[in-house]
Amino acid sequence: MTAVAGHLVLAARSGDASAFEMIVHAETPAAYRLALSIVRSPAEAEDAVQEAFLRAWRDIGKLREVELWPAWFRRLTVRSALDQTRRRPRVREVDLEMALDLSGLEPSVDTADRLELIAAFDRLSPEDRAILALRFYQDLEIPDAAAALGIPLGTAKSRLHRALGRLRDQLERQR
Amino acid sequence: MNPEERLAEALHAALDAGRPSPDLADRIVERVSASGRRSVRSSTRMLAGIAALVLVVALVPLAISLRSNGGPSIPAPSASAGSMTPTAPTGTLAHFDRDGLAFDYPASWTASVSGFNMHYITILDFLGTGTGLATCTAITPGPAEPSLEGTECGAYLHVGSEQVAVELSLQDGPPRGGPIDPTNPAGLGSGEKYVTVGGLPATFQDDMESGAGATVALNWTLSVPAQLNSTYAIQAEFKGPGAAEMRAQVEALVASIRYDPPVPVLNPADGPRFAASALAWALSTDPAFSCFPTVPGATATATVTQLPAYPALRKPLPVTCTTDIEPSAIGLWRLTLTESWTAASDRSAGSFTTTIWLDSNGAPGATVGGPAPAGIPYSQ
Repeated sequence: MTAVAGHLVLAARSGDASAFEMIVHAETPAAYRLALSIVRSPAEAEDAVQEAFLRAWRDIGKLREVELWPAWFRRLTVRSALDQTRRRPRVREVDLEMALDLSGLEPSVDTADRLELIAAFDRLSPEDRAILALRFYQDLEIPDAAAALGIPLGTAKSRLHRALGRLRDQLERQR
Repeated sequence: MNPEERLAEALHAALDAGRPSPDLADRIVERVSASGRRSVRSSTRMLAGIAALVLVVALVPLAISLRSNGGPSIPAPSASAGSMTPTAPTGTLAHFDRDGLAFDYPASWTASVSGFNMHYITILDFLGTGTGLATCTAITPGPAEPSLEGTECGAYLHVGSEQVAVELSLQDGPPRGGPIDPTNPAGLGSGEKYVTVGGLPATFQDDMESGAGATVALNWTLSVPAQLNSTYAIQAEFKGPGAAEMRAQVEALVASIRYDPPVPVLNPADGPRFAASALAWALSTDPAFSCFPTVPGATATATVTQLPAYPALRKPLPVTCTTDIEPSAIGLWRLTLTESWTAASDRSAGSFTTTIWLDSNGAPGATVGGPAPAGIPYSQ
């Protein structure tokens, strides 16, 4: 999440709709990318972000410390994204549009390697994608990733370990 | 490069370029606006929507202390508490003077003191010939909304045909966007306009439901002098063939309003000192305030990478920063901080104004800022 100023969150918490509107505009791109990492569908990512902001507006009065906004809103976004995945059929297609975004990338990892990794990532469960995205895309420490998922630290550690294992398995199957 | 680093790089490559639809934020704002805000207040027109909820949660009507104007207390027996029965013929006026406000109202109306506190909102009084009710409902989590719990409080007006009801309430916190500011076009909600009531800045909304026999709702919100976070709200509802007469009664009541307590007189000589201390406070909350001179009337130039309360700009923006402070008629200081920029090949000229409101002692308490993000060059 972006560095939204504390007084803006404070004003929104007090019911200032214009302050919340500014937060929406500031946070939407980052929230969208986080949701997209979990749902892997642009339309569902947008739905998840909308849902997260609606929950945030409804519950922002419960946010005791404005400094907790980034972690709190990240958790709402992750939860909304996971909810989105639960509403749809389990079968999904690999997002070709997403794969096409990989063209023209920096050469430290070749494009084929990235495509392979993302294809394997796409085949993981939403819960596995969430923990991997929080740890390796959001670059969160494991306690913060656990907080974003609303799970105990030990659960987050084991889930991360298993998710990495399943990612390796997927890569093996693709080869 | 280890597998985790490869994954991180692949995820960044796949996701960093991801952009939501250009109108997503606007659509969210629209939905948020349409959703309203929980636990603030409701009118009778929300009752239908709440009715289903009431079926499955425990309704906890709280006793409302009601009494006739100047008479003894009468405990509220049920949800019908606050029913107002005409006690005098129309035409004559009674006088109300309580809670800082004085006004006249038809002597045929009943006035009932409520004093029902809904966490920052206190229902002060119900007046009229209809029914006023303040109540709280316990909300329990359910499968559809596992996070939803707590208490939802609301004040409701109900009018039958040829009935009028007026609710007077005070919102005294938490920190909000400052007093009602008629110079701020963004400070109005849908259908609202700025007016002056009893010399106080106010907003007014005239809202009529469609259809025959529709209920008319009139809403005024008034800034409380010398208070950064307080407003009075006057909500009136009426319906029936006599709606025009009832409207005239309500409008006459509002036109007679006077604010009783003394309003602090601000000394302009205090302005520079208060401006400096408020700027220091602002800077402690957001480094983007660093370009503003601490002396009112002075100008400074800087190249900034962030505007107050906004994410970092994509590239540095040369700006001219000014600071001004002035006392207001309602006993509050207004500190105006403006960053302006000239046009260049990749941007239009523009400005960004942040207003910080200070109480009569110079303590900052409310910040209002911005144009729409679309007006800011190099925004993310």
